Amino acid sequence: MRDPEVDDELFEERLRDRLQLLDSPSGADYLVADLPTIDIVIASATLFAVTAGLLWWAY
Amino acid sequence: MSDSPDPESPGDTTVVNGRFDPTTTDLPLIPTERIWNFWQHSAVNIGLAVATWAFLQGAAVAYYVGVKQAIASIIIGYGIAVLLVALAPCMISVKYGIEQFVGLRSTFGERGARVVMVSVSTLLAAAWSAVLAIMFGHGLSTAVNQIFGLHLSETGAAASILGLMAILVSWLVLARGPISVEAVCRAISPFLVIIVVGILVLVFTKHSWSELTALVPIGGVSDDPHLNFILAIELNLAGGFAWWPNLGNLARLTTTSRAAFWPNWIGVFGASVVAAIVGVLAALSLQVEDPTQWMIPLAGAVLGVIALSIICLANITAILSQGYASMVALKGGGGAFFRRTPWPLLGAVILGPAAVLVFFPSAVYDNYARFVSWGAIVLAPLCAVQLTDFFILRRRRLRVSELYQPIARSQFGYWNGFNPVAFGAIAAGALTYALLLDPVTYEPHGLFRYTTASLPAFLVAGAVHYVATRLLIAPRGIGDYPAR
Repeated sequence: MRDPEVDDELFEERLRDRLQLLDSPSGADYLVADLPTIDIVIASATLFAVTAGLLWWAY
Repeated sequence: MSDSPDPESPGDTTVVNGRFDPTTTDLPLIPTERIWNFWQHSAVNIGLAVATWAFLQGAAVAYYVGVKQAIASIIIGYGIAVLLVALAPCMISVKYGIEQFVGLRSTFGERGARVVMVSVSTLLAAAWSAVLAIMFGHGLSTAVNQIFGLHLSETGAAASILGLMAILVSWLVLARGPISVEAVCRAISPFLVIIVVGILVLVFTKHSWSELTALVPIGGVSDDPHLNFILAIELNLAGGFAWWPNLGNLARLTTTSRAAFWPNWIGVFGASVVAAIVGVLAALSLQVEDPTQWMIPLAGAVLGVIALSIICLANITAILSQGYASMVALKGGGGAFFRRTPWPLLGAVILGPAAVLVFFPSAVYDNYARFVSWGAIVLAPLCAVQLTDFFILRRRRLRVSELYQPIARSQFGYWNGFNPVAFGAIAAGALTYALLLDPVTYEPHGLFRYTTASLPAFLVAGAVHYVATRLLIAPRGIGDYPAR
């Protein structure tokens, strides 16, 4: 069994490295790009149309 | 995910094959550490969706409405809820690679996020595990009665003891760590798909479409069918919101935002909808609400017992996937204490309450609609607060380093690690829900017949969080909210 203290130290070390990376000037390179708004619009519009169609069909 | 854990400590997932595995910690993941593309995420999502709870959902809907309105209510309810949960936890987790409940620190504060995690993730996992274990007990009692000609009560002590057995077996598998969970779940999913298709074929060989659409709801013909339709939509909204605790941490492992968003439409929407509709057809054609009672009348004694056995096993895999997700959330987002807690003990924390609940089968299993409603009363407002906070107030920008600072130094420290505004918004949403649909009696009130309960709860919570944050939090420079 490993020592939990060693696990904590390893974790803190990795966390520090990552946060430095994310806060650096090139930090944006380590992020995933936002979902394009058009995707949200397509999903919402399709859902709206399907809901309207189903309400008409089910009544 | 295919690597094996460190043999020196099999229950510990942070070290895999001698190297540190960041996916099992609450570290922010960088893009090269993401392991799932669009199709891999879709496969996992489908595996999660095609579980026995879809049958329970379908059967519960069939209590209120006939086939056409059931299909409409399932697609509408799940569609709206899945759109919201595919945005709220998923987009934060995929963008920054952060664990779902770590992301919540920006909204609720560090201690607040922990309260949300324990109450939502852990309690719901315990409750779902109890429902699935009781279903296991019902199913196995039915199978044993059929095979040995016994007359064990499907709701008596035997079913409870079998349910307890399901919990114990689940705990034993969970205690061995994530690899065994993944292997067991992967093995059972194809059989469930076969059962779903099999039920569909059997129902349609015995009934025409016009016969099916003429069937009355299990609860009987209502003198207010519109209200029953809205109750069915509400049930499905609640069923969709129930995915909230699970989806963020799956999205965290995906390579792009599109790979995080759209697979939810294939899995927890598409696959769940299909399985729930199959559940509706079976329940209505047999006029039986308990899914464990469908198999033998539909498929005959031999095939029915085989299908029932698979369903029983599938209940265990569903307990495992639910329990595992909660354990990872606790281990990752629960701070140093839970990070150090051995895997078997964490399993006991999650499954312990379920082991007690299996001895009250009627209270749990026969009140499925109320049970889902108890989840939605918190989850719909929670989803709204998170969505409003990240998409509107923060305009999709978050300083990740602040999430990991000590409370005294963090911009997300709020008041002693709690943001009372976010909790107030949840309370306002929950109150709205309770005023429209009594979660204890399941009696609707007031405008429910036009609005449902989850949607107003969602809107009220989001509005309260927006206004109160703008008036009380942002002007004080707390919470790292951008200026308007």
